[in-house]
Amino acid sequence: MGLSDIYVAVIYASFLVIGLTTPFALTLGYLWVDTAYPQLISTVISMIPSSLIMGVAAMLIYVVGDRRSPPRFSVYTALAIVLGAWITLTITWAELPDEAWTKWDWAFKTVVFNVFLTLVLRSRVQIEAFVQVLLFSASMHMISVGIKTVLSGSGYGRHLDIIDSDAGLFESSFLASVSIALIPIILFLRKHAILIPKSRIRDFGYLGLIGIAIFSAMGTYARTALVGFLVVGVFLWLQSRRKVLFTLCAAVFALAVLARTADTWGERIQTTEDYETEGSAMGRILVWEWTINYSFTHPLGGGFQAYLIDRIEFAGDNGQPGLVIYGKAFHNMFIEMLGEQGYPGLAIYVTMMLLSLSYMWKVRRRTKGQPHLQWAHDLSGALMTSLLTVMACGCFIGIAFQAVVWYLMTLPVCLHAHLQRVEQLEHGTDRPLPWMPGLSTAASMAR
Amino acid sequence: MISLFAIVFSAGMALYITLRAAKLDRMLPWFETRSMFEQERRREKAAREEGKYKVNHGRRSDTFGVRGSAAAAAAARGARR
Repeated sequence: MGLSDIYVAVIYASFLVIGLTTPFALTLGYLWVDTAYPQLISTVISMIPSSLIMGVAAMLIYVVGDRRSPPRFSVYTALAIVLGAWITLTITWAELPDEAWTKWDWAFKTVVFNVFLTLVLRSRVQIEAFVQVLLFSASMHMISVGIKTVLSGSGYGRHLDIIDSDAGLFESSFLASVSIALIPIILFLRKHAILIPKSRIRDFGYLGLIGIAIFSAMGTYARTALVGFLVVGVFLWLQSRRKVLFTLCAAVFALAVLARTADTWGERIQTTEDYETEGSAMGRILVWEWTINYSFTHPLGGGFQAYLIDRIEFAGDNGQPGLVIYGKAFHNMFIEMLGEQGYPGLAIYVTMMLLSLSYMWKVRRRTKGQPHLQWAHDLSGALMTSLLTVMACGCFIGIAFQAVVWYLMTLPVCLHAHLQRVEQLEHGTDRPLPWMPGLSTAASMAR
Repeated sequence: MISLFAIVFSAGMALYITLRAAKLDRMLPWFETRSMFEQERRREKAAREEGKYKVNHGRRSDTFGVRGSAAAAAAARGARR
């Protein structure tokens, strides 16, 4: 047992202690456990069901002592509950029930926690704290990969994260996507954060994190990163007020990063051009084709891990028999939903994503030119760019139930609910809460 | 060494943010309306003019320029009315 094991255990215990007086701290603790995976890096934490303890404690203490100003029930929350029920139901006809239960275990947890998030994140401080803890939890992976890439230049196939695992952000393609998706959020925090005192150190710290995020994405050598950089670059450019300066800075930084990672990154990215001969890329196209055909015969999906039954055949050269691969992963979050949860699951999932985007659009529109809500305006823009980046990257990786994707979908719902309540107070249209007769938002805040 | 730094930094910052959030969530109004925001701006401006910008007995405010704790408490009281 090393000092780092004890340090991580102390941090974990601190969240539980703070949660006794400040219930939403337990939600932040769960976010940290779910993103940084202390159970995988500390032998002390690995001895207990850390995620379960933190999650149950967060929900229990919320119900007992933190129901001040509960938000209105949203369509998004209703859809998340329906999806939670649906992914449980599909196990009854799953192709591989045992494997399906394994994935259901963490996927269901993600859905339930995100339903809970729409209730617990209400104030500006809580929303920002969630964003900050998400960033710093992810930064554990980003710093490890990013700094090692700066020092060594990295290389394809090298594992630079803290431990060698494929769980969550330890998986290289997903880490690349999230690192890039966090860039707009870091820019937002640099401008509007109230939880870290404003200073030059804070400014340089956030700028440094952007550099680390970029090197981290490059260091994974994931081709998904190219898609992510394109999407985030375009949307940041569109939102930028100084477009020429932004273009110049982006070009200089891109040249510097490319110079540091040498030719190998370029060679790796060039394989996307030879998709017909390159095994991985062609395999993805074939598995997408297989899944679409499978969905015609199984419109309700094949349950979690249905990809394990697929059979992918590569065309052979000169009449030679082609290579056959069994159990190739979906490599696309939407295809993953289609294959596992069928058309109903895909429809609910896509509707939730579109709802989330529409909430952000509404917040942006309604907060324009309002100085007291400038932070909400900029946060909705940052979250929109982040979600679109993850959605674009998700077209090449199976991350439909990864918690970070869900957090980016759920945060706009909390932000929209926050704006609604500010508007109600401003316009004096504070209506009674339907499930608490006689209690309005303002009255419930005073409880 | 780099991995150790990553663990120490990220976990430490996550805890720091949680502590700050726990403190500020009690001080700041949950739903800040335009009138509360403008009232706060006027208060800051008046304090600056009087040379009393530094609240909390000469120390910088807890929110470091966002608002002083006394003003925040008044704003929060306003929100509850």
